[in-house]
Amino acid sequence: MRKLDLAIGLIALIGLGIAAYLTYIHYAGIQPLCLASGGCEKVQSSHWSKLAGIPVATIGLVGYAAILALLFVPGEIGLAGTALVALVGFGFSAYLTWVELARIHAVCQWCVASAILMTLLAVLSVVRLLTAEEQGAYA
Amino acid sequence: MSSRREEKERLRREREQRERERAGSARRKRRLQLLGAVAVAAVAVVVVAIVASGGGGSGSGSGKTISGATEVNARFDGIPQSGIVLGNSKAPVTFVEFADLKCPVCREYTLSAFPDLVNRYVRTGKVKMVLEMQHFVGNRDGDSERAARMALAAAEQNRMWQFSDLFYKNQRDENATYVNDVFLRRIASNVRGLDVDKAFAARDSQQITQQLQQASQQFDTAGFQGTPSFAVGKSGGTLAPINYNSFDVSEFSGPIDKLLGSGGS
Repeated sequence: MRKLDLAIGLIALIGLGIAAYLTYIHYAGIQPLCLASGGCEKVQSSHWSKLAGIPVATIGLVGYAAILALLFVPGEIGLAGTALVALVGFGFSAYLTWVELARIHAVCQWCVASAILMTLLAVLSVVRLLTAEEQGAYA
Repeated sequence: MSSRREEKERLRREREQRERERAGSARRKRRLQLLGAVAVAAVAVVVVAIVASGGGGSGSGSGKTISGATEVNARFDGIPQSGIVLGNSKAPVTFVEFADLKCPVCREYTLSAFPDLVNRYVRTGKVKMVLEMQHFVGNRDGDSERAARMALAAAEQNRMWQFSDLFYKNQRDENATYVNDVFLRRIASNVRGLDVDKAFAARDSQQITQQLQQASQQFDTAGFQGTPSFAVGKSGGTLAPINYNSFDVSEFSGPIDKLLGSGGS
């Protein structure tokens, strides 16, 4: 179980870095580094880059931070909480990926990377929830 | 004796094994129930988030609504545009503005006298306005040229005046570098009817480079020293510069009315 915790923690840290970068460029009003011409900038300046006025990147930042924090919560509350946040992140990332392809017609590599990380986190956190021993190893 | 003790030990181990299996089974069942609850909650949160983000909406992909978009789009509704010309192509008077989108004084004119002039003279078909885009204000960083190129690209779709007006409404410090693609897209995507991707694709064309050079030459030839500068005259005739002291609408309506040969308004 410790390996699973470490893997989740590491992936969440990478996600935290990506979300922090995207949050920074959103508020600084600068262009993200992007391999495909214009894709990131088009996605970042689109209608869908905010949710209820909050940049999606900032919501992602909070999500990754919550997953990291919940790793340290013992018992089933921590297990279920991590899985809940990761599954919400996975579901919303899947929706945003669809939006990029079907609505904005542009792909932001940073968003795709975050979606992949959220998918991994969802799988690992579900496995962790189902297989974790009764006590101990999560704290 | 030994055999009986071994038998008891075996039974004890079997009992413990059964208890462990029962406990494991109960835990797995509880965890599956927990996972089900978590999944339902996650789906609910995601659905709420999708609805809140406007999911399933029009899907226009347009940028965020920015300051002044509604007002600017309404201002030009119903007024013909052709390239850099605003208004009736057969209007008896031509009014030319030489402006730079990063120029704060140009912004001042656009926010003060310009709307009145449009309503009074352009909407009524008496005057056509021409916007000759300059690009020298704080252009060390290329900001001014990037803005001018995008405006001229919008002109190819007859949306230059909306773009320029909206740019002024969201203009920042002239010494700051802010005219990047994110900023331009935010402005452009709020101009109704403008194909933003098409404008981005057109902005670096040779044609737009030539238009920029021609606008600069006209500015120099007229002997203007700064922006905004204005010239007015009978359409097809010689234009005379307007020497203004303020951006009160009367500074511009006076010369226009004289050319129109009446009170004009």
